[in-house]
Amino acid sequence: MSSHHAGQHGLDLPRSLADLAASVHDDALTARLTRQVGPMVTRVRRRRAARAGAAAATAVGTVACVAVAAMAIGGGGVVGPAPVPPASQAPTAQGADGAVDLTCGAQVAQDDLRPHVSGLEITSLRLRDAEAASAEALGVGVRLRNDDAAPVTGDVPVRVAVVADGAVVATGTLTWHDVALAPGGERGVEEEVTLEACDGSALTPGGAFALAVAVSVPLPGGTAAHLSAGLLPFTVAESPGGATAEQRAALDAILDAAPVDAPFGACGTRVPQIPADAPLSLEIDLDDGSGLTVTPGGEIEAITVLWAGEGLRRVVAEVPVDGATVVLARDGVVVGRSAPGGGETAALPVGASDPQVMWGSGAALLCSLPGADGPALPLPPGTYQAYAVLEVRVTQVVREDGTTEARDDVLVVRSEPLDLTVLAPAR
Amino acid sequence: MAAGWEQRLHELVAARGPALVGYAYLLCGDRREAEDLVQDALVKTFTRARSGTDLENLEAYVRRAVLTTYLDGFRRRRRWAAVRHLAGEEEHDPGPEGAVGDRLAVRQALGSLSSRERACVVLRYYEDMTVPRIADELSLAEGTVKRYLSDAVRRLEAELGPLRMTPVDAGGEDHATNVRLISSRRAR
Repeated sequence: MSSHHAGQHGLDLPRSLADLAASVHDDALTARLTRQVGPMVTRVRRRRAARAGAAAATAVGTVACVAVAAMAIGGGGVVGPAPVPPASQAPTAQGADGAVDLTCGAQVAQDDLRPHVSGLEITSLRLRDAEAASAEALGVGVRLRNDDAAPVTGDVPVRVAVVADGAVVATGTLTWHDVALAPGGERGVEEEVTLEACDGSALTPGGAFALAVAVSVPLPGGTAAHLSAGLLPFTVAESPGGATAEQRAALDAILDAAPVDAPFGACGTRVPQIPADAPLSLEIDLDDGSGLTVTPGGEIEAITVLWAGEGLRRVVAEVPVDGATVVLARDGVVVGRSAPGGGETAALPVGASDPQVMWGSGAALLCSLPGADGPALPLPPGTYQAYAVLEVRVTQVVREDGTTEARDDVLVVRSEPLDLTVLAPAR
Repeated sequence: MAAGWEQRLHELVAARGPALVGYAYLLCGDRREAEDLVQDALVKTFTRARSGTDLENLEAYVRRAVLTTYLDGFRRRRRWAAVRHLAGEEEHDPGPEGAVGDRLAVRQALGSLSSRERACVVLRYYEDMTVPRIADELSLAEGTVKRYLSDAVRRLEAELGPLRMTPVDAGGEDHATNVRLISSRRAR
């Protein structure tokens, strides 16, 4: 029992607690707290941004791409109806029936398209809604005028093609039902056309494409007028869930370079097995209340716990005073990390039941391969495996039986992985 | 909090920062750790707080965040923990020898309690909460809280001798404002 008493009636616990709490108050504390307001503001802003990003990503869902039309047939313009060039200026390179091949892989040139055939004319071709269109489905609008042909009735099939580098890379069909187009009249159709990519993959975000359509108008006598129009350029913009070509290329380069011959944690190194007799083990906790997410390029904060290994009572090791580094791996290869920090270390005792708890930090940045220059790019959105990594020098090991062993082992300790999602950039 | 939450953070830290650190210090027993706890709690609170939350409620939210973060246990020690031993012993305020001795003894005795026992003691005898309120705060049964308090007091008395549990005067000292925890978990 302690000799500290507050008189014969004993210590007044509430007052003692208040006294103890008040004992921390001093000018230095106030100054320290005031200095921390700025960093706290930064942390709050970052977390608010991350939460907003997560909300935005949820709202957007899996929308992949946004198509933006820049021109219409034969001339400049913006998304929306655009005039077809006069018939006299229209290309006439096609055969008599005007049919254009819009099947996968077919070469399509502007001169192959015929918007004015047999008294019928495609007067406009448009992408309906730039914000809603995607690489998987495009809102396509076609207007047809009957100048002096016979009345048009029945269904009119409209073949839709996406052209890249002069070749058809995706196709779709729009069926214009129950058309009734008398001479002198004009009608239009606008529908969401589901596209099927010719190689089975989606259209590449960021790529430049063009839209072409072929309309087969049934004519009396069982014949048809084959009209075609295009090429309406559009781009598939980067999606919230996508990555830039530069990011993808950088990520691929790291994966291609793996395994880099360097201690684990360096860019391009493979995740090693944890030895069963490792003198130290490391745990990581990333959940700061905002979920296991981070914005592209954002900082990663983690709590890490360093334990003595199995069968060891205590381990003395020199560890970085800056704490552990958090690296992000994809397919078992380190692809994301911040620049290495300083090399200052401190010797710490690590107990089996008295671990060292340290800060861990990293960044959702694509790492740089050895010898690579240039600014770090944000990691592409997606899920990565986060590892806490700590390079330590073990100097002493005390076993459960009390035997002590001096060591001088430099080793890299890693944690088990945690899945961490890099959010799509806020739009 | 649409306008000027940064300013409100400034104001809260300036006005109540030391009191919050004192509260955190009772829970964790370490000044630096207490400051980290408060900073983390402030960041959590201002990240999630809605506009229009007044300063008193903000303080209540921060106190609760301090408590939950402390009880989480895993996050109690931060970056400084790695080099804590290099910092040496904590400085102690000068003061009457007896007061300093009592303070050290109380601090040491609190260190003998489990985190939940300690939280119960701080909430009951520092925050002046009732047992039902503590049970609500900690998501525990009232009987469990009573058991924690009973065990804790017995252990403290083993260290400190007989204890008096008289309530602190309502006015006149900083603690009077400290004990105003005006928001329960349900209000968050």
